[in-house]
Amino acid sequence: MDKIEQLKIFIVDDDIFYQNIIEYYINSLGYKDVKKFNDGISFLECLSENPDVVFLDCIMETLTGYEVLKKIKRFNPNIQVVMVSSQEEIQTAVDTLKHGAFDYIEKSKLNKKNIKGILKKIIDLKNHFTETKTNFIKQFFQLF
Amino acid sequence: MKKNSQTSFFSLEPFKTEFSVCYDSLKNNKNTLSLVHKGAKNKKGSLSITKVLLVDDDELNTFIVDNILKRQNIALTSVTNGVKAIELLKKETFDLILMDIQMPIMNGIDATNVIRNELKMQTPIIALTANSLEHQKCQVMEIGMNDFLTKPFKEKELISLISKHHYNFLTNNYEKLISKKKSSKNKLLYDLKKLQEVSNGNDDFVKKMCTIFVNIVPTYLTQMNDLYNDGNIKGLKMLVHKMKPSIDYMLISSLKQILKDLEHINDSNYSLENFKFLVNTTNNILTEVVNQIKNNELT
Repeated sequence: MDKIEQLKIFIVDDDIFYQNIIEYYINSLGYKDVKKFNDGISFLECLSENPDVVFLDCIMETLTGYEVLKKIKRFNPNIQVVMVSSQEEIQTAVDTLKHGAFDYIEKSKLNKKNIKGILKKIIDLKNHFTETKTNFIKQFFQLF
Repeated sequence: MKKNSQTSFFSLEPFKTEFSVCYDSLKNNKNTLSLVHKGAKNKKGSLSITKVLLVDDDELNTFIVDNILKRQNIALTSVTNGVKAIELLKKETFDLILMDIQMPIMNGIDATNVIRNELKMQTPIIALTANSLEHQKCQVMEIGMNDFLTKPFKEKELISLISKHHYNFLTNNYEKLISKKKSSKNKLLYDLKKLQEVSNGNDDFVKKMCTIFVNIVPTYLTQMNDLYNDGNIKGLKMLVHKMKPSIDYMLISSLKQILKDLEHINDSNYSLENFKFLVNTTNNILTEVVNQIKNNELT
């Protein structure tokens, strides 16, 4: 549970209604460190806060999800991005996986279970990464 | 190709190549189709209509219509006579019917009579016939068909007729739907069932979402009217796309089809007047929903 609560999650969606739905699901799973942004520009201004996970809407007026994704990955490839798309843009969302998105989720199929599954995978990946890093450091010092 | 020849385009998918069919060769009783290579094109249409039934015993015409509709992303089901059409219509619904007049077993006139009088269906029916005589036109209109298209026809003519009659059909349906909703005084235009499911019993959350909805809708409507007045159809479609998830969560069923049509209708097939109707209907329904939410949920 400790690790779950440590996740810093950002939601970027120009639909305020939908933003709040995602936030509610995330909060109800026990993740409390959540921030919401109405567009890609205001989100990028806070990118230096290094969130662990970003739920990113595919289609937004100012900057598209794909453009924002590229900027996130250039800034910090360890930030995990979950693309949120409608059924019509599902192919766009799938394509973003090739550009570093961690996963995608369809708006009409969004539910607590889906979000829980995705966040669990991200935590597992994070833990695996930390473990590998620790083992590498240990092995490095054993050389001396 | 002759300047006045009538043509239709179709594509051979595996080759990503488009051809035009020269109807003159058919008219002049030549046995072969004249295929004219037009080069690769990507002309994906987007009429909101999705299912069309073609009743025609002429394989060539079926092939041509199928290819025209494919490029508009419309699924075509074809049968070869009126009896088969009626059997199918008892099991399945279609957005529009294209009906040949002269067919074996049961002709288009008799089939239309059954569809209108026995099945009581109001689905638009367009007569397809080789005969352009005025009295036949009158006859098909009298028995309840909605329009008349003489073979050979141009692709543009077919699409424009489909678009026109489907639009009229939708308009009538919307009006019926809205008046039905208005006539039942206690009937709410929204349903909080989905939000309540999400909230898992948290009434404060439902109330918060209702407040957000009531606050964002006027902004959406102002934007929608501005975009319509500017003739910015692309912007309008984008806005509708953005509005859709919240409409879905509020379960405003009367808006579902309207928003789908607004988002997907093809600019070239629909006039600004048609958009106006859809925009106005969206405005009226959403304004009513906001008033109902304010009165029932936020007092």
